[in-house]
Amino acid sequence: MKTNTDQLKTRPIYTDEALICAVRAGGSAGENAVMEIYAAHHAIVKIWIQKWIQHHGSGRSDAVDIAHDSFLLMIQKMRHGIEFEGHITTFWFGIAKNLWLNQYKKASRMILVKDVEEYYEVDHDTPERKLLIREEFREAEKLFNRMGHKCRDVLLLWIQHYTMEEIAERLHLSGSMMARKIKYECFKKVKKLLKYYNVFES
Amino acid sequence: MDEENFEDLIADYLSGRLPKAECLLLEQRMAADPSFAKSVAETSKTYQFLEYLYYRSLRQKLTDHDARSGTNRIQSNKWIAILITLLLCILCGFVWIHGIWSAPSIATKYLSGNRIQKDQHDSLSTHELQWQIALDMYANKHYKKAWRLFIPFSTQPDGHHVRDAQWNILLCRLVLEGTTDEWQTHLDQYIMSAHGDEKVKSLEVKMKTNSWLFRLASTSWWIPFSAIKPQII
Repeated sequence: MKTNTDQLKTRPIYTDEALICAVRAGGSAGENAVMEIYAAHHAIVKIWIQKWIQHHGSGRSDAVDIAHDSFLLMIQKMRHGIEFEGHITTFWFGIAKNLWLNQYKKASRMILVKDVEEYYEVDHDTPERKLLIREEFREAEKLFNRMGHKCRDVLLLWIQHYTMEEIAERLHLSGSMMARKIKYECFKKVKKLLKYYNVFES
Repeated sequence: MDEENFEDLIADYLSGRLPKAECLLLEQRMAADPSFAKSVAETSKTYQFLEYLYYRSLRQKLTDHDARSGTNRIQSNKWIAILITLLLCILCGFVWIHGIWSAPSIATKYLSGNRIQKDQHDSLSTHELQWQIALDMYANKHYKKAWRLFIPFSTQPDGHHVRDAQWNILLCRLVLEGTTDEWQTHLDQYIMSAHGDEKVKSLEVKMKTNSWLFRLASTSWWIPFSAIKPQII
Protein backbone atom coordinates (compact mmCIF):
# COMPACT_ATOMS: atom_id res chain seq x y z
CA MET A 1 0.00 0.00 0.00
CA LYS A 2 2.87 2.32 0.81
CA THR A 3 4.19 2.00 -2.72
CA ASN A 4 0.79 2.82 -4.18
CA THR A 5 0.27 5.90 -2.06
CA ASP A 6 3.83 7.09 -2.70
CA GLN A 7 3.23 6.78 -6.43
CA LEU A 8 0.05 8.82 -6.18
CA LYS A 9 1.94 11.68 -4.58
CA THR A 10 4.05 12.04 -7.67
CA ARG A 11 1.99 10.83 -10.63
CA PRO A 12 -1.58 9.73 -11.34
CA ILE A 13 -2.47 6.03 -11.04
CA TYR A 14 -5.38 4.69 -12.99
CA THR A 15 -6.00 1.26 -11.48
CA ASP A 16 -9.03 1.01 -9.21
CA GLU A 17 -7.19 -0.90 -6.52
CA ALA A 18 -4.42 1.66 -6.21
CA LEU A 19 -6.92 4.52 -6.06
CA ILE A 20 -9.01 2.79 -3.38
CA CYS A 21 -5.87 2.03 -1.35
CA ALA A 22 -4.86 5.66 -1.58
CA VAL A 23 -8.32 6.88 -0.49
CA ARG A 24 -8.19 4.53 2.49
CA ALA A 25 -4.70 5.64 3.41
CA GLY A 26 -5.66 9.34 3.24
CA GLY A 27 -3.17 12.19 3.18
CA SER A 28 -2.19 14.01 0.03
CA ALA A 29 -2.23 10.77 -1.98
CA GLY A 30 -5.78 10.12 -0.79
CA GLU A 31 -6.86 13.64 -1.66
CA ASN A 32 -5.42 13.27 -5.17
CA ALA A 33 -7.00 9.85 -5.57
CA VAL A 34 -10.46 11.18 -4.63
CA MET A 35 -10.32 13.80 -7.38
CA GLU A 36 -8.69 11.29 -9.74
CA ILE A 37 -11.65 8.93 -9.29
CA TYR A 38 -14.14 11.72 -9.79
CA ALA A 39 -12.42 13.12 -12.89
CA ALA A 40 -12.06 9.69 -14.48
CA HIS A 41 -15.58 8.40 -13.94
CA HIS A 42 -18.01 11.26 -13.30
CA ALA A 43 -19.01 11.74 -16.93
CA ILE A 44 -20.07 8.15 -17.53
CA VAL A 45 -21.78 7.79 -14.13
CA LYS A 46 -23.75 11.00 -14.71
CA ILE A 47 -24.92 9.67 -18.08
CA TRP A 48 -26.00 6.38 -16.46
CA ILE A 49 -27.83 8.23 -13.69
CA GLN A 50 -29.51 10.51 -16.21
CA LYS A 51 -30.69 7.52 -18.24
CA TRP A 52 -31.83 5.72 -15.08
CA ILE A 53 -33.86 8.73 -13.95
CA GLN A 54 -35.37 9.16 -17.41
CA HIS A 55 -36.27 5.48 -17.58
CA HIS A 56 -37.66 5.07 -14.08
CA GLY A 57 -38.61 8.42 -12.73
CA SER A 58 -40.42 11.61 -13.29
CA GLY A 59 -37.28 13.70 -13.54
CA ARG A 60 -37.71 15.18 -10.08
CA SER A 61 -34.09 14.59 -9.15
CA ASP A 62 -31.10 16.22 -10.73
CA ALA A 63 -28.54 13.71 -12.01
CA VAL A 64 -25.64 15.95 -10.92
CA ASP A 65 -26.90 16.17 -7.33
CA ILE A 66 -27.42 12.41 -7.16
CA ALA A 67 -23.94 11.88 -8.65
CA HIS A 68 -22.37 14.17 -6.02
CA ASP A 69 -24.30 12.66 -3.10
CA SER A 70 -23.50 9.11 -4.16
CA PHE A 71 -19.85 9.98 -4.77
CA LEU A 72 -19.52 11.37 -1.23
CA LEU A 73 -21.15 8.22 0.15
CA MET A 74 -18.79 6.06 -1.89
CA ILE A 75 -15.75 7.96 -0.62
CA GLN A 76 -17.06 7.63 2.93
CA LYS A 77 -17.34 3.86 2.45
CA MET A 78 -13.86 3.64 0.98
CA ARG A 79 -12.45 5.65 3.89
CA HIS A 80 -14.18 3.28 6.31
CA GLY A 81 -12.57 0.36 4.55
CA ILE A 82 -15.72 -1.27 3.21
CA GLU A 83 -14.80 -3.96 0.69
CA PHE A 84 -16.54 -4.16 -2.64
CA GLU A 85 -16.11 -6.17 -5.78
CA GLY A 86 -16.26 -4.92 -9.35
CA HIS A 87 -15.47 -1.64 -10.98
CA ILE A 88 -15.64 1.73 -9.21
CA THR A 89 -18.23 3.04 -11.67
CA THR A 90 -20.54 0.08 -10.98
CA PHE A 91 -20.22 0.62 -7.23
CA TRP A 92 -20.82 4.36 -7.58
CA PHE A 93 -23.82 3.82 -9.84
CA GLY A 94 -25.21 1.22 -7.43
CA ILE A 95 -25.15 3.75 -4.60
CA ALA A 96 -26.66 6.41 -6.87
CA LYS A 97 -29.53 4.10 -7.87
CA ASN A 98 -30.35 3.35 -4.23
CA LEU A 99 -30.11 7.02 -3.30
CA TRP A 100 -32.50 7.93 -6.06
CA LEU A 101 -34.91 5.14 -5.13
CA ASN A 102 -34.84 6.39 -1.56
CA GLN A 103 -35.65 9.91 -2.67
CA TYR A 104 -38.40 8.54 -4.87
CA LYS A 105 -39.74 6.52 -1.98
CA LYS A 106 -39.79 9.55 0.28
CA ALA A 107 -41.44 11.64 -2.41
CA SER A 108 -44.12 9.13 -3.29
CA ARG A 109 -44.46 7.53 0.16
CA MET A 110 -43.66 4.11 -1.26
CA ILE A 111 -41.40 1.51 0.27
CA LEU A 112 -39.06 0.35 -2.46
CA VAL A 113 -35.77 -0.39 -0.74
CA LYS A 114 -34.25 0.04 2.67
CA ASP A 115 -32.60 3.36 3.51
CA VAL A 116 -29.33 3.59 1.70
CA GLU A 117 -27.28 4.01 4.86
CA GLU A 118 -28.97 0.96 6.31
CA TYR A 119 -28.42 -0.92 3.05
CA TYR A 120 -24.68 -0.35 3.19
CA GLU A 121 -24.47 -0.60 7.00
CA VAL A 122 -22.50 2.59 7.46
CA ASP A 123 -24.45 4.66 9.90
CA HIS A 124 -26.78 3.52 12.61
CA ASP A 125 -28.35 6.92 13.32
CA THR A 126 -31.96 7.33 12.27
CA PRO A 127 -32.50 9.84 9.45
CA GLU A 128 -34.38 12.21 11.78
CA ARG A 129 -31.56 12.18 14.29
CA LYS A 130 -28.99 12.72 11.55
CA LEU A 131 -31.00 15.66 10.29
CA LEU A 132 -31.12 17.20 13.76
CA ILE A 133 -27.36 16.87 14.14
CA ARG A 134 -26.83 18.36 10.69
CA GLU A 135 -28.96 21.38 11.63
CA GLU A 136 -26.75 21.98 14.66
CA PHE A 137 -23.65 21.36 12.56
CA ARG A 138 -24.76 24.03 10.10
CA GLU A 139 -25.06 26.55 12.89
CA ALA A 140 -21.71 25.52 14.35
CA GLU A 141 -20.07 25.75 10.92
CA LYS A 142 -20.78 29.47 10.74
CA LEU A 143 -18.84 30.03 13.96
CA PHE A 144 -16.14 27.55 12.98
CA ASN A 145 -15.44 29.56 9.82
CA ARG A 146 -14.59 32.52 12.06
CA MET A 147 -11.94 30.55 13.93
CA GLY A 148 -9.28 31.40 11.38
CA HIS A 149 -7.70 29.74 8.39
CA LYS A 150 -4.98 27.91 10.26
CA CYS A 151 -7.35 26.05 12.56
CA ARG A 152 -9.70 25.15 9.76
CA ASP A 153 -6.90 23.99 7.46
CA VAL A 154 -5.11 21.90 10.10
CA LEU A 155 -8.30 20.16 11.20
CA LEU A 156 -9.52 19.51 7.66
CA LEU A 157 -6.17 18.00 6.72
CA TRP A 158 -6.08 15.94 9.90
CA ILE A 159 -9.56 14.56 9.19
CA GLN A 160 -8.25 13.44 5.79
CA HIS A 161 -5.56 11.45 7.61
CA TYR A 162 -2.69 13.68 6.64
CA THR A 163 0.33 12.98 8.83
CA MET A 164 1.58 15.81 11.05
CA GLU A 165 4.68 16.08 8.85
CA GLU A 166 2.49 16.51 5.77
CA ILE A 167 0.34 19.12 7.52
CA ALA A 168 3.43 21.06 8.61
CA GLU A 169 4.86 20.96 5.11
CA ARG A 170 1.60 21.89 3.41
CA LEU A 171 0.81 24.81 5.73
CA HIS A 172 4.45 25.96 6.08
CA LEU A 173 4.55 25.32 9.84
CA SER A 174 7.83 24.99 11.71
CA GLY A 175 7.43 21.23 12.20
CA SER A 176 5.21 18.29 13.06
CA MET A 177 5.18 19.22 16.76
CA MET A 178 3.79 22.63 15.93
CA ALA A 179 1.16 21.03 13.67
CA ARG A 180 0.18 18.63 16.46
CA LYS A 181 -0.08 21.48 18.96
CA ILE A 182 -2.28 23.56 16.66
CA LYS A 183 -4.49 20.54 15.94
CA TYR A 184 -4.91 19.86 19.67
CA GLU A 185 -5.77 23.47 20.50
CA CYS A 186 -8.18 23.78 17.58
CA PHE A 187 -9.88 20.47 18.36
CA LYS A 188 -10.50 21.72 21.89
CA LYS A 189 -11.98 24.93 20.49
CA VAL A 190 -14.31 23.00 18.21
CA LYS A 191 -15.42 20.83 21.13
CA LYS A 192 -16.30 23.99 23.05
CA LEU A 193 -18.14 25.29 20.03
CA LEU A 194 -20.24 22.16 19.76
CA LYS A 195 -20.97 22.28 23.50
CA TYR A 196 -22.24 25.81 22.97
CA TYR A 197 -24.68 24.48 20.35
CA ASN A 198 -25.74 21.59 22.62
CA VAL A 199 -24.67 19.01 20.05
CA PHE A 200 -23.45 16.66 22.75
CA GLU A 201 -26.81 16.69 24.51
CA SER A 202 -28.90 16.00 21.41
CA MET B 1 -3.20 8.18 27.65
CA ASP B 2 -2.75 11.92 26.92
CA GLU B 3 -5.53 13.90 25.30
CA GLU B 4 -3.69 14.41 21.99
CA ASN B 5 -3.34 10.68 21.46
CA PHE B 6 -6.89 10.17 22.70
CA GLU B 7 -8.24 12.16 19.73
CA ASP B 8 -6.17 10.11 17.30
CA LEU B 9 -7.37 6.90 18.96
CA ILE B 10 -11.03 7.91 18.62
CA ALA B 11 -10.39 9.00 15.01
CA ASP B 12 -8.93 5.58 14.23
CA TYR B 13 -11.79 3.88 16.05
CA LEU B 14 -14.44 5.81 14.12
CA SER B 15 -12.75 5.37 10.74
CA GLY B 16 -12.31 1.62 11.28
CA ARG B 17 -8.52 1.78 11.45
CA LEU B 18 -8.15 0.62 15.05
CA PRO B 19 -7.23 -3.05 15.41
CA LYS B 20 -10.06 -5.26 16.71
CA ALA B 21 -8.31 -6.05 20.01
CA GLU B 22 -7.92 -2.33 20.80
CA CYS B 23 -11.52 -1.71 19.77
CA LEU B 24 -12.66 -4.31 22.28
CA LEU B 25 -10.54 -2.75 25.02
CA LEU B 26 -11.96 0.69 24.27
CA GLU B 27 -15.54 -0.59 24.28
CA GLN B 28 -14.97 -2.48 27.54
CA ARG B 29 -13.59 0.64 29.19
CA MET B 30 -16.52 2.70 27.88
CA ALA B 31 -18.93 0.22 29.38
CA ALA B 32 -17.12 0.29 32.71
CA ASP B 33 -16.42 4.02 32.98
CA PRO B 34 -19.33 6.38 32.21
CA SER B 35 -17.17 9.52 32.33
CA PHE B 36 -14.77 7.94 29.81
CA ALA B 37 -17.78 6.97 27.64
CA LYS B 38 -18.99 10.55 27.79
CA SER B 39 -15.59 11.82 26.75
CA VAL B 40 -15.49 9.35 23.83
CA ALA B 41 -18.98 10.45 22.76
CA GLU B 42 -17.95 14.12 22.79
CA THR B 43 -14.78 13.46 20.82
CA SER B 44 -16.77 11.30 18.38
CA LYS B 45 -19.28 14.10 17.79
CA THR B 46 -16.46 16.57 17.22
CA TYR B 47 -14.85 14.16 14.80
CA GLN B 48 -18.20 13.74 12.99
CA PHE B 49 -18.53 17.50 12.78
CA LEU B 50 -15.09 17.74 11.16
CA GLU B 51 -16.02 14.93 8.76
CA TYR B 52 -19.18 16.85 7.93
CA LEU B 53 -17.02 19.91 7.13
CA TYR B 54 -14.68 17.76 5.02
CA TYR B 55 -17.55 16.35 2.94
CA ARG B 56 -18.97 19.86 2.55
CA SER B 57 -15.61 21.07 1.21
CA LEU B 58 -15.33 17.98 -1.01
CA ARG B 59 -18.79 18.65 -2.45
CA GLN B 60 -17.66 22.20 -3.22
CA LYS B 61 -14.58 20.78 -4.97
CA LEU B 62 -16.80 18.55 -7.12
CA THR B 63 -18.99 21.51 -8.08
CA ASP B 64 -15.87 23.53 -8.96
CA HIS B 65 -14.53 20.62 -11.02
CA ASP B 66 -17.83 20.38 -12.92
CA ALA B 67 -17.84 24.11 -13.54
CA ARG B 68 -14.26 24.01 -14.82
CA SER B 69 -14.82 21.05 -17.11
CA GLY B 70 -18.11 22.62 -18.28
CA THR B 71 -16.29 25.87 -19.06
CA ASN B 72 -13.64 23.95 -20.97
CA ARG B 73 -16.32 22.23 -23.01
CA ILE B 74 -18.01 25.55 -23.77
CA GLN B 75 -14.62 27.05 -24.67
CA SER B 76 -13.78 24.19 -27.03
CA ASN B 77 -17.29 24.36 -28.55
CA LYS B 78 -16.79 28.09 -29.09
CA TRP B 79 -13.53 27.50 -30.96
CA ILE B 80 -15.13 24.79 -33.10
CA ALA B 81 -17.97 27.22 -33.97
CA ILE B 82 -15.44 29.94 -34.89
CA LEU B 83 -13.50 27.48 -37.05
CA ILE B 84 -16.64 26.29 -38.85
CA THR B 85 -17.71 29.91 -39.46
CA LEU B 86 -14.28 30.73 -40.84
CA LEU B 87 -14.35 27.70 -43.14
CA LEU B 88 -17.83 28.65 -44.33
CA CYS B 89 -16.66 32.23 -45.00
CA ILE B 90 -13.69 30.91 -46.97
CA LEU B 91 -15.97 28.56 -48.94
CA CYS B 92 -18.46 31.36 -49.70
CA GLY B 93 -15.57 33.63 -50.72
CA PHE B 94 -14.23 30.88 -52.97
CA VAL B 95 -17.62 30.45 -54.68
CA TRP B 96 -18.12 34.22 -55.04
CA ILE B 97 -14.66 34.93 -56.44
CA HIS B 98 -14.79 31.95 -58.75
CA GLY B 99 -18.32 32.76 -59.93
CA ILE B 100 -17.68 36.43 -60.73
CA TRP B 101 -13.98 37.11 -61.10
CA SER B 102 -12.51 34.03 -62.76
CA ALA B 103 -11.55 34.14 -66.46
CA PRO B 104 -14.28 31.65 -67.58
CA SER B 105 -16.94 33.75 -65.78
CA ILE B 106 -15.74 36.94 -67.51
CA ALA B 107 -15.56 35.11 -70.84
CA THR B 108 -19.13 33.79 -70.45
CA LYS B 109 -20.46 37.19 -69.47
CA TYR B 110 -18.85 39.20 -72.32
CA LEU B 111 -19.42 36.81 -75.26
CA SER B 112 -20.25 38.65 -78.50
CA GLY B 113 -22.75 37.34 -81.04
CA ASN B 114 -26.36 36.15 -80.92
CA ARG B 115 -26.89 32.45 -80.45
CA ILE B 116 -29.83 30.93 -82.34
CA GLN B 117 -31.82 27.90 -81.17
CA LYS B 118 -30.66 24.61 -82.73
CA ASP B 119 -34.12 23.85 -84.25
CA GLN B 120 -33.73 26.99 -86.38
CA HIS B 121 -30.26 26.04 -87.69
CA ASP B 122 -31.77 24.43 -90.84
CA SER B 123 -32.71 27.81 -92.22
CA LEU B 124 -29.15 29.23 -91.84
CA SER B 125 -26.52 29.54 -94.53
CA THR B 126 -23.33 27.48 -94.23
CA HIS B 127 -21.40 30.59 -93.15
CA GLU B 128 -23.94 31.46 -90.43
CA LEU B 129 -24.13 27.84 -89.36
CA GLN B 130 -20.36 27.75 -88.81
CA TRP B 131 -20.66 30.93 -86.73
CA GLN B 132 -23.42 29.38 -84.59
CA ILE B 133 -21.32 26.21 -84.11
CA ALA B 134 -18.40 28.37 -82.94
CA LEU B 135 -20.68 30.19 -80.50
CA ASP B 136 -22.06 26.87 -79.23
CA MET B 137 -18.53 25.57 -78.70
CA TYR B 138 -17.74 28.72 -76.76
CA ALA B 139 -20.93 28.50 -74.69
CA ASN B 140 -20.14 24.86 -73.89
CA LYS B 141 -16.68 25.95 -72.67
CA HIS B 142 -14.79 24.27 -75.52
CA TYR B 143 -12.63 27.39 -75.83
CA LYS B 144 -9.84 25.76 -77.82
CA LYS B 145 -12.18 24.52 -80.56
CA ALA B 146 -14.19 27.76 -80.50
CA TRP B 147 -10.97 29.77 -80.93
CA ARG B 148 -10.07 27.77 -84.06
CA LEU B 149 -13.57 28.23 -85.47
CA PHE B 150 -13.53 32.00 -84.83
CA ILE B 151 -10.19 32.51 -86.67
CA PRO B 152 -11.64 32.38 -90.25
CA PHE B 153 -14.33 34.91 -89.29
CA SER B 154 -11.77 37.34 -87.83
CA THR B 155 -9.60 37.39 -90.97
CA GLN B 156 -12.36 38.21 -93.51
CA PRO B 157 -11.93 41.96 -94.17
CA ASP B 158 -15.57 42.55 -95.16
CA GLY B 159 -17.09 39.81 -92.99
CA HIS B 160 -20.18 40.29 -90.90
CA HIS B 161 -18.70 38.86 -87.67
CA VAL B 162 -15.11 40.21 -87.81
CA ARG B 163 -15.27 42.38 -84.71
CA ASP B 164 -17.27 39.79 -82.75
CA ALA B 165 -14.85 37.03 -83.78
CA GLN B 166 -11.79 39.12 -82.80
CA TRP B 167 -13.37 39.87 -79.44
CA ASN B 168 -14.37 36.25 -78.79
CA ILE B 169 -10.85 35.07 -79.68
CA LEU B 170 -9.48 37.52 -77.10
CA LEU B 171 -11.83 36.01 -74.52
CA CYS B 172 -10.82 32.44 -75.49
CA ARG B 173 -7.19 33.42 -75.06
CA LEU B 174 -7.99 35.00 -71.69
CA VAL B 175 -9.40 31.68 -70.47
CA LEU B 176 -6.70 29.48 -72.01
CA GLU B 177 -3.55 31.61 -71.65
CA GLY B 178 -4.40 34.14 -68.99
CA THR B 179 -3.50 37.86 -69.08
CA THR B 180 -0.17 37.61 -70.88
CA ASP B 181 1.65 40.73 -72.13
CA GLU B 182 0.73 39.84 -75.67
CA TRP B 183 -2.93 39.49 -74.72
CA GLN B 184 -2.82 42.87 -72.97
CA THR B 185 -1.38 44.47 -76.13
CA HIS B 186 -4.06 42.89 -78.29
CA LEU B 187 -6.78 44.01 -75.90
CA ASP B 188 -5.43 47.59 -75.96
CA GLN B 189 -5.41 47.48 -79.76
CA TYR B 190 -9.00 46.25 -79.73
CA ILE B 191 -10.03 49.03 -77.33
CA MET B 192 -8.35 51.66 -79.54
CA SER B 193 -10.37 50.53 -82.54
CA ALA B 194 -13.65 49.95 -80.66
CA HIS B 195 -16.68 52.25 -80.52
CA GLY B 196 -19.88 52.48 -78.47
CA ASP B 197 -20.91 49.29 -76.64
CA GLU B 198 -17.78 47.46 -77.85
CA LYS B 199 -15.56 50.07 -76.16
CA VAL B 200 -17.56 49.97 -72.89
CA LYS B 201 -17.45 46.16 -72.84
CA SER B 202 -13.72 45.93 -73.59
CA LEU B 203 -12.88 48.58 -71.00
CA GLU B 204 -14.89 46.69 -68.39
CA VAL B 205 -12.93 43.50 -69.15
CA LYS B 206 -9.64 45.41 -68.96
CA MET B 207 -10.65 46.87 -65.61
CA LYS B 208 -11.74 43.48 -64.26
CA THR B 209 -8.63 41.65 -65.44
CA ASN B 210 -6.47 44.30 -63.73
CA SER B 211 -8.25 43.94 -60.36
CA TRP B 212 -6.75 42.01 -57.41
CA LEU B 213 -9.83 39.80 -57.21
CA PHE B 214 -9.16 38.56 -60.76
CA ARG B 215 -5.52 37.94 -59.83
CA LEU B 216 -6.68 36.04 -56.73
CA ALA B 217 -9.10 33.97 -58.81
CA SER B 218 -6.34 33.27 -61.33
CA THR B 219 -3.70 32.06 -58.86
CA SER B 220 -2.53 28.53 -59.29
CA TRP B 221 -4.31 27.10 -56.21
CA TRP B 222 -7.66 27.47 -57.98
CA ILE B 223 -6.59 25.21 -60.85
CA PRO B 224 -7.44 21.89 -59.18
CA PHE B 225 -10.98 23.21 -58.53
CA SER B 226 -11.47 24.88 -61.92
CA ALA B 227 -13.25 23.14 -64.79
CA ILE B 228 -11.07 24.99 -67.32
CA LYS B 229 -7.39 24.12 -67.34
CA PRO B 230 -5.22 26.91 -68.78
CA GLN B 231 -3.08 25.77 -71.67
CA ILE B 232 -0.88 27.47 -74.25
CA ILE B 233 -1.87 26.91 -77.85
